[in-house]
Amino acid sequence: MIAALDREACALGLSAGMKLADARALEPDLAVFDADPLADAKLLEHMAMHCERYTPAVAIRAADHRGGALILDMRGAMHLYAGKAALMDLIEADFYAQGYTLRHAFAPTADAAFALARHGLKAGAEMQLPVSALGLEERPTQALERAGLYSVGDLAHRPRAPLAARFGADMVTRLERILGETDQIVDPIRSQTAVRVERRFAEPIGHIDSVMQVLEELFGDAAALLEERKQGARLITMRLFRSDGHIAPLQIETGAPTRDAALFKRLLAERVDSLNDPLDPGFGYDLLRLSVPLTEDLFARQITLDGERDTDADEAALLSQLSIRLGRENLHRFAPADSHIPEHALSSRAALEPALPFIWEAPQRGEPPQRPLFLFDPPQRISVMAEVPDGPPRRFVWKRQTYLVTRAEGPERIASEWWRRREGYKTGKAGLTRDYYRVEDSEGRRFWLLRRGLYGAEARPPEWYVHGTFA
Amino acid sequence: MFHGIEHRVNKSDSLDSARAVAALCDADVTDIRGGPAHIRALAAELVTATDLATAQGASDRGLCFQFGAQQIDDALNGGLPVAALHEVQAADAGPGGGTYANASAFVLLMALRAAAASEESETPEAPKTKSPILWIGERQQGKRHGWLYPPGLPEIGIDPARILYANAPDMPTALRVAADGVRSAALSAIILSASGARPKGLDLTATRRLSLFARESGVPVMLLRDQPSGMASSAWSRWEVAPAPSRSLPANAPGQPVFDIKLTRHRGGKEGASALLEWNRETQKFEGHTRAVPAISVFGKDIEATRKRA
Repeated sequence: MIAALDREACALGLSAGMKLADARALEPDLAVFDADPLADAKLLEHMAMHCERYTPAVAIRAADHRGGALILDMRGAMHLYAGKAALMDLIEADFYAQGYTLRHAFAPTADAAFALARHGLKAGAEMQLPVSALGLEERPTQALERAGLYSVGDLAHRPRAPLAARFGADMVTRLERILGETDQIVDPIRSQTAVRVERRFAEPIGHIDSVMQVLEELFGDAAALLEERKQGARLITMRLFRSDGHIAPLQIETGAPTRDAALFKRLLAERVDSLNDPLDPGFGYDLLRLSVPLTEDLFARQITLDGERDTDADEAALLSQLSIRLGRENLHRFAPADSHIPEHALSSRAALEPALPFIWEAPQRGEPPQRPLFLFDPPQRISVMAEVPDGPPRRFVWKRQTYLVTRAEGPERIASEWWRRREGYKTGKAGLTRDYYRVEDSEGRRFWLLRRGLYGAEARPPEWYVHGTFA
Repeated sequence: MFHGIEHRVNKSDSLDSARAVAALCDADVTDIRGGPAHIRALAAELVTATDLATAQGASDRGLCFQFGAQQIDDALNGGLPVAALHEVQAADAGPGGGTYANASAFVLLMALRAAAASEESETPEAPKTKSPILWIGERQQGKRHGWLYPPGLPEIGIDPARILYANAPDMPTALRVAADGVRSAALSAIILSASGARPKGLDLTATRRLSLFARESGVPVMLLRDQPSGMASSAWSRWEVAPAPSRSLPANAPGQPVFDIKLTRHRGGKEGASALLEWNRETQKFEGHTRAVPAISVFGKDIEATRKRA
């Protein structure tokens, strides 16, 4: 079923609500796209945010198959514009520049404005609205039409009590709203302002303990604000304004959204302890400000009846604390990366970032370890005695110690990433091939040896390295 | 009657068995008002309770984990306690000669066995996602021994996503991180890697703190040293681990990792136990390994003979 069409399609005689097969019969070369109501709703929200420049009170009327509507309450903002016509020109030009055309109407009430715009009438033409503009269900609307009442004008002058008795009080309320006799409060969307609390002191405070206490109280205030919004803090920034003008910034990042004052106290103590330059109050701080730039939804959690400790929260608290002490990137997990070069086959992710379910390559059943447990960066140079061209090392000397090889497997050939090099597709410019050998010496130590370059193929004799050690 | 019980308490070996006796005593004080026969029966009951407690040896071990290889588990009389500090030392202080990787693997596998034991003991109706294992290392260790390479972890049967890495700038910070980690119940094991003969801050007090926290929270702590050290430590067990030749595969390829372990300190008095263990990745258990025939070099010559001649 067709949800929306452009002007040309309308001109061809297609209409919304028509079946796609019928439409295709009329016009075989129809360009069809899947309707995406979610994307449409998001777009409407975006437009509403955009319209905030005209008035702070913008509301969205539910978008349906006939499109979406925005209600702008201009009561407090009309003085900013030269007149209704000027405002409408401004809005039309704005949207036209972005590729949209509008239908619009002014009216004393929101419902009337919506109905007028939807039916393409001008301001003041409420009487000409059909009864479907009342927004009733299909059956009441049909009942009205069967009774011979086709437009709002027909209903306007009739006594209301019999209408209410016959068609319901709801219909009468809607009628009154369209006629401008009563009004519904426009519930605007407001973009959320960041939570920010601060405290000023007539006498600058110089004691670090008092400063910490005030910061904890500020966090309590911020937590109360967050609780109203059902959110928790992920990032807390504090600025301490010294009386001589110096501003000391502090920042705490948590692993999970929180409103917990005890956790904040712990993390704040950790943060202040691990500062590179300790806090110096100087002559004292006269303004302390705490803001929460990053928040996430946090609903009040039920405490389980048997008082079990919430390990997820504990884990998040521990990660926050350790990340503050060590530095954000020094507490991390590894994720696999798509490369067959061994030292590039992994990437680091800070522990505070959400843990994604990566899948590491699983070894084959029964096969011994093919990758070492420890890797040297860079690989360590050794001198090797081996059979040319492809033989495994027999003996190697590493850091002035000789190792006799008793078992060996290989070579595992890993070519260079020629596509990353300039003119790598040409022979000779592709980079050196690596041959890896898993060797074990007489004592049972297991190494991953690397030969960079092939015998004979390259100009220089290849070099040998220890790249890693196995268990 | 009371005098008899006191006498038994003084002679008992462990504090816990004494406490058990005292508890029984408290519970049954009201019953003693029965006749002499009743008192004798009660005394017999108390005696058997105390004997049972002493027969169990250190009855305050709590939950234990085992290696899976029967010889060493029997030698340890049931296994090692999970909620304790264990120390593992690499047997050879050589210049990054490959023993460190072997000892690290052993420590990781011990941590895995300990974590598995504590998971199994929890109620099966509420299976949790596995808690992470924290590996704490100092930044300068990478230059000497290399960096822990995650693609090598599935090769020994550990999921790399389970390991959390902490890079500490120095040893005292690493110890503080370990202490914080142990006190939180959110981790399943902690591994602290210390390099050098005398790491700064690692002394008896530090290890005692760690083992106390481990006991309270139930999180096992493993201390990994890259060389043997006789330093006084409050660890429950201290192992010296060296690599051993593996069971070779066809075409003389190196096989599964083999560990030559020796118990150098044990709170239960089992020092001197040693074993040769091979890790089975599929069953996630250690297996006893018999020393292979003399290693043959890549060329088919007997390495021992070659050595004698040289």
